[in-house]
Amino acid sequence: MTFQKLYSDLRRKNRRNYALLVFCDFISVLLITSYAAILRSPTVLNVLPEGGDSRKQIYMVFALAAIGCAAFTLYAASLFFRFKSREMGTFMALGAPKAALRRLLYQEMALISVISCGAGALLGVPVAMGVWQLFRVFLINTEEMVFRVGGSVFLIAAAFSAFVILALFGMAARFIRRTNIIDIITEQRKSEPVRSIPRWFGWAGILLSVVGGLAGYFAPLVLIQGFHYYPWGWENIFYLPLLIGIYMILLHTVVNGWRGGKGYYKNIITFSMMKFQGRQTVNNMLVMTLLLAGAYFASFYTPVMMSGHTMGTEARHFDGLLHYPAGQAAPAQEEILAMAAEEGVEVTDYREADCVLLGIDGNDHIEEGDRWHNEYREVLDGQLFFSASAFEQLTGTAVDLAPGELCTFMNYDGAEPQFGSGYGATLVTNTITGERLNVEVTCDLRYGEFGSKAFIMEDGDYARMSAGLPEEYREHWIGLQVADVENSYAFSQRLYNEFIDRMDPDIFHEVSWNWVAKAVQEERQGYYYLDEYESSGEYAPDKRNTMAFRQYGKYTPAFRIMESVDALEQMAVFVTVFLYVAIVCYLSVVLIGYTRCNSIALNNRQVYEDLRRLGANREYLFRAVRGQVSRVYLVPAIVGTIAIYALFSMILFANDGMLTPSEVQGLLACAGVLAALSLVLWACYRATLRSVCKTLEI
Amino acid sequence: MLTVTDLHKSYRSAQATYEVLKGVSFTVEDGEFVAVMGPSGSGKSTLLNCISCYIPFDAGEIELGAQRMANLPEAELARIRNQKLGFVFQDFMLLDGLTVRENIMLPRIIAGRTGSGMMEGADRLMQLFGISHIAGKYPAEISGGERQRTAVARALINNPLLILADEPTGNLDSKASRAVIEAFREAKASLGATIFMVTHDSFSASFCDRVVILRDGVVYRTLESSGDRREFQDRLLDAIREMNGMEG
Repeated sequence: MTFQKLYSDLRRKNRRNYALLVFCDFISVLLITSYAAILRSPTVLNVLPEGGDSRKQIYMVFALAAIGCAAFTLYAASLFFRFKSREMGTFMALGAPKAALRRLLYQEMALISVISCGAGALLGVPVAMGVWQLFRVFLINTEEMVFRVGGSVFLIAAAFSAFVILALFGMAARFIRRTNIIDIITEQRKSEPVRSIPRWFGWAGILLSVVGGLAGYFAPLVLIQGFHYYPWGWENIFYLPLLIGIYMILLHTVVNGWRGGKGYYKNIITFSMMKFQGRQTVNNMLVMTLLLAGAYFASFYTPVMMSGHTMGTEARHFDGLLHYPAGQAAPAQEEILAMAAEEGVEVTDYREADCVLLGIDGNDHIEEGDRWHNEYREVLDGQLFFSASAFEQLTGTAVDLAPGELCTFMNYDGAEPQFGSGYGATLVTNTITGERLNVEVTCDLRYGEFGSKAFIMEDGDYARMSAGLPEEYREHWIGLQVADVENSYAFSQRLYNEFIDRMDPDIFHEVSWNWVAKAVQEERQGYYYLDEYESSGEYAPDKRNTMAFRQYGKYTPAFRIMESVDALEQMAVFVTVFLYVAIVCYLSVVLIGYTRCNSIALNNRQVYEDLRRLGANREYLFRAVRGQVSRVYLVPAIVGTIAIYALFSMILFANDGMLTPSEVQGLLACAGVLAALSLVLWACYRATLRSVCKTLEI
Repeated sequence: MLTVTDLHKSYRSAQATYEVLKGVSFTVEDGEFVAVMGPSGSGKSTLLNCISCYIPFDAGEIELGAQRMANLPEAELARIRNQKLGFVFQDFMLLDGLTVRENIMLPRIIAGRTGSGMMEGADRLMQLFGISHIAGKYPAEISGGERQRTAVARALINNPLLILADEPTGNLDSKASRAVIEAFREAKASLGATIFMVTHDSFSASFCDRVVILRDGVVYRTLESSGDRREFQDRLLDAIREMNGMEG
């Protein structure tokens, strides 16, 4: 028998400890790789706009998941080395040379790394593809949902695997370097007590959390608006008090509890055990809280987006709205009515009107590195202008305007439209003839359909300003109402396709694209940025069923029934990504909770045995176990839920200084999601409780 | 065999430095069975851990045979622990994944001396201590007394110069304690083993040739056995009462 052989016998006997470490590392690498596979997939990157909020949010939650998984692997490794300490300490005490032990330990770490990281990194992509495919089969399937793998996923997988491997070898090196054999031998029995903390810790934690949440959200706004400075990410440091506050709340809950000492003796076992496992437990709970917050944040996306979309669609003034440049061979009224009749749809109202494209003044937002400033331009962009009578003809809404007065548009709920309202405009220019008009915006109408892209002007002003404009600067609008919207899908889709087929393919662009802006930008800087932005052809007619074309395409016909029925399909990639992210974070929380609870149980097995000998009945022992498991699960759940819901509500409120009806409905939907996910977490908690009781034979 | 001269050892915490050994000196002769007694905090275990080279000491001298133990390189310390010292711990420190026989052979396996004689040596020791019938069992399957006799056998497998035992009967009932002490006596008688044992139990100590009583980090008194165990235990108890009286 050699030492090597004996060591492998021991490894076989203790395979559960090795399996736990391999499993934890494997799961972490698998989750991060599969998350990265989704995150870096061209399928997703093409849909999440670069620099957009959605992408930032996904990356932020990815950072949380990465921190969580990293903490999880470190924790698993520390558990492993605690278990190894007795074995290694005995070997050292009996005179085994450190060099030999180091060699054996490093060999083990190499084996564990290869198995766990290799399998995790290799399976991460197939798992992501598999789950994505399941979403396609059971949830949404569109042409945009075809999953493609980006090359950088393997870099991310390699980077995370490198972290896991470095952590394992680093901890192994530190472990074997220690000289005090008694410390090594007694390592397994060591507790990690938390020092006593004052009772005000909990309330101070809540206060710090609130301050951190507010500071973290408003600091970037102050920096950008007040100091004209774009921070590159360091501004997230303002969220630090939130993190510290949550840590203090968790610490206070574990060490002191919130009942001011009431029930202390009833729960003395739970309290004392938690306290003496405190440091690691609180660290684990903090990671769980952050991951839960990430999971909830990601799962809020769909309900908020869908409720906003649904209410926006319901509030539309037209069942169908089409517009196109003059001179295009669009279907005429007779054709449209005939088409409707063929599809069994009764068109109850049909209206048409014209408008023109004029230049509008404003401040040009110029970014130089991380600084920005505004430069006033007499012609900044092009906007559509209806005459008051044309607008009334199209919508039936009369607008009383004096010469020089303009009316702008807001969303249906009074909130400012996505690209801003027209308030602030003072000068309108016919960029072809040079005719100018000083104006003042005096009113706004709640028409989401025209938000950010049109004005209404007095008829006399319109006649003067529109004179001399060529065909491409003139647009024609058609508004439809049907008797039964629910039965109008086939008609809408037919008209949608017919309309696009009839148009010159060159007219389709991103919604902001216009001739005025193109002319002034090409004159000023030699190119029009939207021409470059559109170079991938995502607004070409053959992309008519993609989310980008449907939501952000210029001249995309809008039909109430199509927007209502196809909403989920249009947002398929967004919904799937956020759902996937939520699942990854949620799964991590359950894994950490399960592992932590079981390790607390194993570490305290003797205490339960002693309590049994002291006459504790099953009920008492069960209560003690439940006290611990529930703290590990429920405290992060409560803190994470409250924190993210409060933060999310604040973000929605602070966006425009109000909670719009769709935001309120979105928040209610989120509360429903929270309730459903909390039920799932409750089920996981019960399963963990059963597992721990089984381990402790209670 | 073992000479300890003016040994000093202190522990430092964030707040203060605690001097645990304040100049301990004594010797253990070849083939002697010596115990160290003393109240909690007197420095017994620290003394043993310093002799075992488990923890470094601050000042003084420890000589094992002709070997001075201070400032030895790590590899040399490991060699000494493996070949010149044998250890018996209060909580046995047997490896759960190894059988009784494998645990006993462990120091030989570590030394790489796994050739002929290793198995026979283990069997002979098991026979000597009455544990042959559990050779193939795992520590979890045997009693506390059997575990400790396994540990004693393991300590002897490499024919060490000195066996160091830290409260070997601390976790055992009186019957098992008696069996372990008998195992030490057998090792001394049959194998000529030299044994240095830390204990707080006057009954166990009364089987020794000599008892060193520590108090507050210094040697308070050394008592020698006349051969009459009961009389020696009475003298030990008197000395302890006297020491406690001084404290009172």
